[in-house]
Amino acid sequence: MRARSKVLRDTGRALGGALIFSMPMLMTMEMWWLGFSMDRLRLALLLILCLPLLILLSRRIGFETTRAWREDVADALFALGIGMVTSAVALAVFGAIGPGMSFHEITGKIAIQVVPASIGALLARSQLGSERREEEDQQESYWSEMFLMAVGALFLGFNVAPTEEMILISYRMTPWHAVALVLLSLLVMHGFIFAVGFRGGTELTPQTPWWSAFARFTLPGYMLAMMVSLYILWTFGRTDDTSLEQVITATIVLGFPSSAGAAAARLIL
Amino acid sequence: MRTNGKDKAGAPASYEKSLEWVVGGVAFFFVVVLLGYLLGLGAWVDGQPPRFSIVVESVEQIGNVYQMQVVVTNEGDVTASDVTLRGVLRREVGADEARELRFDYLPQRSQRRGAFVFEQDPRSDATMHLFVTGYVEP
Repeated sequence: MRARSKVLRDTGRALGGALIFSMPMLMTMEMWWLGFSMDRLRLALLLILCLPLLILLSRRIGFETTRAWREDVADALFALGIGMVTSAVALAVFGAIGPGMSFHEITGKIAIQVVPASIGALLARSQLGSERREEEDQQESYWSEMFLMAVGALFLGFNVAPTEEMILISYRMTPWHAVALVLLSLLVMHGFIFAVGFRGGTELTPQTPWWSAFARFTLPGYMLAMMVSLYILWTFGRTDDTSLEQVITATIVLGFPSSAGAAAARLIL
Repeated sequence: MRTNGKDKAGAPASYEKSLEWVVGGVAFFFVVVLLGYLLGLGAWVDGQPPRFSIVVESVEQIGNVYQMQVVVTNEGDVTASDVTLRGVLRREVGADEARELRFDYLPQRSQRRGAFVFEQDPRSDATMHLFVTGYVEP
């Protein structure tokens, strides 16, 4: 009986998490358009990459303080399923999917929402749950810190990348604006990393000189955020038939929210 | 660097520490190259206004209409939006056929594709006029 109520509670939390995390994207029409217009291979690659990401994320945080990889895989698949159900139900209620649409269109629209929704489902425990992780788990290794940054960048980047404003901003920018945005991104990131780092869990302490944290966390974090941004832009077809300069500017624009997401990952995730 | 007991101290820790600095060095190099590229662009590119070149990629008969695929390239350094492309099929006998395409954005040094749909075969002896009628700055 207790086991059953626990399953119900976990499922409820996962549904809630999936909904909260994917709501902005479920209600963005560019996301629906991408569902039928984006390249199928890129969509497939996105879903394939999503699974190891969820597994690693579950390893680090998740429904259970799991130990065996088998359980992490199960948690990841569960989150993926919850993500699909949440997206399908929400899109159907919004009338974004329905009769008269091709299988291609419906599956595409759901598939593209699965990534943020399943991340949300997986994170539901840390966001909505009352349990905190044990003290011993709080010390992160450098690489798991980097992984969290990548997920944070992916999550916030995914939120804004589909909108037209993203590329419109990059079209309006001159190279000087781009330089300013790179510097601003680094500044914001460093502020977050310093502020969040002191909450414990990282090796950063008030005694760490700023340049040490900047070189070992902020700069690699920014590079990571830029790579994630470029990957998202490529996935959404924003880099096709576009000049190198334009691709770089668009990556810098998306890199701003992505880098903030990376730096604040420990707050969000 | 870690204090959670998994750390064996000494060699492995300092190895990992130096790896962190290597990653930091690579990232530093990345940011310097990025800023250098942008500053170079800012200093050397003189912001030429949008210029368009239009190339017919293919003509395909679909049912009783003809689809003509075109590729428009913006060769300037500034992005144009609301780019209107006009195609006029002028024949010796009979009325002209005029069609219009509109591209939301045509970024600098980038291409966009579209298609005109004609009732007559554009490959026939008719003459084809393709031109951009206007654009606005985004």
